[in-house]
Amino acid sequence: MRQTEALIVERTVLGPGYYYYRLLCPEIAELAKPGQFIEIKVSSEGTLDPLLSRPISIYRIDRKEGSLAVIFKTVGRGTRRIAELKMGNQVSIFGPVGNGFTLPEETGRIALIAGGIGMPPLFSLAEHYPERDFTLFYGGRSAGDLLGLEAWEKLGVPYRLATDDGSAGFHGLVTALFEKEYEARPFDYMIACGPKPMLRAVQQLAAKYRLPGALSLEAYMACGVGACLGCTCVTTKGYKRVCVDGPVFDISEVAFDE
Amino acid sequence: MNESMQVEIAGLTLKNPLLPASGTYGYGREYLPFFTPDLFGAVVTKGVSVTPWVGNPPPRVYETPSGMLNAIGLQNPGVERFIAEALPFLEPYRTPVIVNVVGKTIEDYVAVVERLNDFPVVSGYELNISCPNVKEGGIAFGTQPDCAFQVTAAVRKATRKPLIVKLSPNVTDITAIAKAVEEGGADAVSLINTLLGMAIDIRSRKPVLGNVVGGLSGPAVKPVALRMVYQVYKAISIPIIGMGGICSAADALEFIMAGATAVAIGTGMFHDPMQPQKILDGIREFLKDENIGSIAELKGIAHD
Repeated sequence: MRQTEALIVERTVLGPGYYYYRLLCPEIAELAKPGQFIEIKVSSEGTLDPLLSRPISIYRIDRKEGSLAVIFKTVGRGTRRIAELKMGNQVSIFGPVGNGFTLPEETGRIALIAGGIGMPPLFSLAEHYPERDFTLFYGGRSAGDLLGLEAWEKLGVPYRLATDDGSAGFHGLVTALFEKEYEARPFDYMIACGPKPMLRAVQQLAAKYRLPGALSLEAYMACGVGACLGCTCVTTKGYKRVCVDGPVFDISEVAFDE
Repeated sequence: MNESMQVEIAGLTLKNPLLPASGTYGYGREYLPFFTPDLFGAVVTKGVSVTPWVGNPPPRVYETPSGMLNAIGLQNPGVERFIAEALPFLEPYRTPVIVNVVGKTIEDYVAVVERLNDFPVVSGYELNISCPNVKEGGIAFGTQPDCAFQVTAAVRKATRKPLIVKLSPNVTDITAIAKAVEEGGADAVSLINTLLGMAIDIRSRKPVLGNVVGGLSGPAVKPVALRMVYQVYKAISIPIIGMGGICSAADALEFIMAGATAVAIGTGMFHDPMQPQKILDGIREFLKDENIGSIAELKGIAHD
C-alpha cells in the first residue's frame, strides 16, 4: 500500500453520472491486482469536507504506463467532488487496498455477473487472465447504464446484456438471463459484483447449481486500511472487514440479512 | 533536539504530545504502510475486554457533514489474543503503549488490568467509560459521577501503572465526572469520546446505522470538545489528553492552549493517513516561528 499524488492523464464522461479516469501512479500500479481498489481523497488541499476518502475499484491496470483506470458513478457528495477533477489535476490516492481476486488453477467456464457500476473490477480480472473462458452477464437499469462494451469486445469476452426497462438486451434481471444460459450450457465458476439483492440472488444460484465462486462487496468505509472495523460485513465466520479481508469473498461465505 | 516537543503525562515522558485516539488505530499494524507506532508520543490501543466482543451489526460508519458517525461496538479479540498478537507486535517499538480497557462490569475492567499488569510493554491504561455504542457497559460508568468514581477507584487499586480515564461528552456537566475520576485516583483524563448522534436513510425510512445510534466524530465536534477541555482544565489538577476533531497542527495547538497536555488524532487519520506526521511537523514549525522553547509552555495559556 502506498500513498501518492496521482496525475490525471485522461478523463472521459461515459454517460450521465458515469466517469472514466486514468491516473498516473506507477508505485500503486506496480502493486495492484484485479479486484483491489484505491482510496481517493475527495476534499481539495487544505479543506476537510467531505472528510473521508472514497474507495473506488480498479478497472484497468497498466504497469507499462504506470497507470490505473477507474470507472465510477456519482452517487453522493464524495463521488461528485471526484468527478469535478480535470485532466492534468493531481489527486491524492492510496492503495492498492484489499485482497483482490484469486482464481483457482482450473475454473472451466466462468460467468462474470455485473450489476451496474459493479462491472469495473470484473474487467480488470478478465484482462488479467486472457487465457480463461469468461462470459459476462451485465445488468443495469437501462442501456445507458451498461458501460465500456467495446472494451469487452476487444478483450474477446462474450457478453449478454439485461436491463430493467428492456432498452438493451434481455428485459429482466441479469440473474434470470444467467439461468437461461446456464440451462442451455452450464458454467463451472461464478464471480459477481453489484448491488446486494443481485449478489444475494447470485449466491442462491451458486448454491442451486453447486458452483464455486466469489463475490466482490462494497461498504461504507472510514480508514480504508483495516484499522477501524467500520466496513465489516457478516460472513459465516463472523464479521469480516470488507476493506482488507475482502472486498472479494468466497461465494458461500457472505451472509445476507433477511 | 526534540526536547521542545516533550511532555509529561501520568508519570510517562512522551517524546511528543500526539497520540492516536483509541479505536482509530487498531493495535498499530494496519498503519505500517504509512508510519510506525514510534511516530506517536504514545500509542493508545483499540479497546480490550476480558472476553472477545463481536461488535455491532453493519452498517457501522456513515459520513455526515464535516464528520462521521460510527457504531463499531468495541469489537475486539479479547485480552488473551491481545496478549498473543498485539503485544508482541508493539514490543519492539520504543514508544509507550497505553492499553484502552473496556468492560461491562467493574470486575471486567479490573480483570483486564490485572491480566496485563505484568507485561512491561504495557506502560499504562486508558479506561473507556464513555463508549456510546455498547448498551450494557462503558457509557453507564461514564455518565454518573459516583459510578465513574467507583470504576476508577477499583482499577486504581489493581494497578500502579499510569491510569487515564476517557470521558464522555454525553453528560450535563463533564467537570463533575472529571472531578470524580480524579478523586478516584486517575493520573489523567482524556476527552472527549464521541457525541451520540444518528442518521436516517430517507429511501428506506430506516436509521442508517445497524446500531441505530452512533458516535459523531471529526471536525464537526471540535468546538464542543475544545470547550469541554477548557472547562475541565479549570476543574481538576491532573493532566488532560485533548481530542475531538483534531485534523491539523492548529487544531492540536488550540487544545493545548485550552489546557490539554497531550492531544489525540482519530478521525483526522481517516481523512489522510499522513495527517499525524503533518500535525507534528506543523507544531514544530509553530514553535520555531513563535520562538517557543517547549510545547509545555503553551498548556492552558488561553486561560491567562
